[in-house]
Amino acid sequence: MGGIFSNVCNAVEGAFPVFGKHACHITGAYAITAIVLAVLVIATLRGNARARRNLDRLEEGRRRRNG
Amino acid sequence: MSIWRFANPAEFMRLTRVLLAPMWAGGAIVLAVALGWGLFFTPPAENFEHTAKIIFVHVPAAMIAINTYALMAIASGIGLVRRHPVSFLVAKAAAPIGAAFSIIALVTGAVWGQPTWGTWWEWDARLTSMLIMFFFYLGYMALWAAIEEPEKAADLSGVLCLVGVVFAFLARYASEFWPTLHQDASLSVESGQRVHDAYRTPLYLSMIGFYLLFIALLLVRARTEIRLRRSRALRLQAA
Repeated sequence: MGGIFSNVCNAVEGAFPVFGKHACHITGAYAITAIVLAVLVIATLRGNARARRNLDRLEEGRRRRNG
Repeated sequence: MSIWRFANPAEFMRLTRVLLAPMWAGGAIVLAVALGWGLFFTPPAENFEHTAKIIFVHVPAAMIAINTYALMAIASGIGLVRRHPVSFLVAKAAAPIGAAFSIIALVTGAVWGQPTWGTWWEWDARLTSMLIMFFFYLGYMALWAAIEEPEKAADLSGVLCLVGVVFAFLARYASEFWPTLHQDASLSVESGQRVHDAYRTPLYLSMIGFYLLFIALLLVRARTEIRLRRSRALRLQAA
């Protein structure tokens, strides 16, 4: 496990030499932030779309019942 | 014109529909500029080298996590006292956002702490308060989900939110009461700036960008909650 992390970190440090020896920490922190925010945004938008579809369907049903 | 008219769901939906697009666009643009500037165009800090660049995500995330809890407490208090349904719905809508920003603050703090303090985690007063506040977020969401009747769920989770507000306060001020490992606030109205000049502008921009994103998310989630409430009412009418 440690070997995998170490290899990934070496690759990241090679890809971002501008951040020096802490490239792995910096890119890791930003990557985690991006992933958490992406999950939050997608879940929020999907939940909203589902709620809107359900409400539209229910309102359509009510309109039909009321003639 | 009274602010309470926005507690009317129809009025809230009308106003927020106009606000959403500028918030999404503004948040995305400002964040891209702030994080690009912070990551690639600032010098390494004197004591922390490049790891200091984690503050561009850690500080805004921690601020939003704490302030979201304060917002939820205020909204819950208003909901409990004035019985405005939108207040409870705003508090409910804010909880997952606050929890997500708490995770970001805790994880980026740990990633910063490892090379700087030599440890991923320390039972420091500020860190521990933040962790407990995160558990209160989870408890609040779990309580909403566990109670079927919305009015009862709103009241009980509102009370739970008010109980946990002490940990939001401690997450902000604990390092001033008990100075241990975590440093004081990076930006403070009372004690001035503690951030290097080169970091200040991108940090401010990052905070603005994250707040715009937060407002956009909060508005969308509040609109979702209002739609779910309306759907429930229609289902009950039809039954």
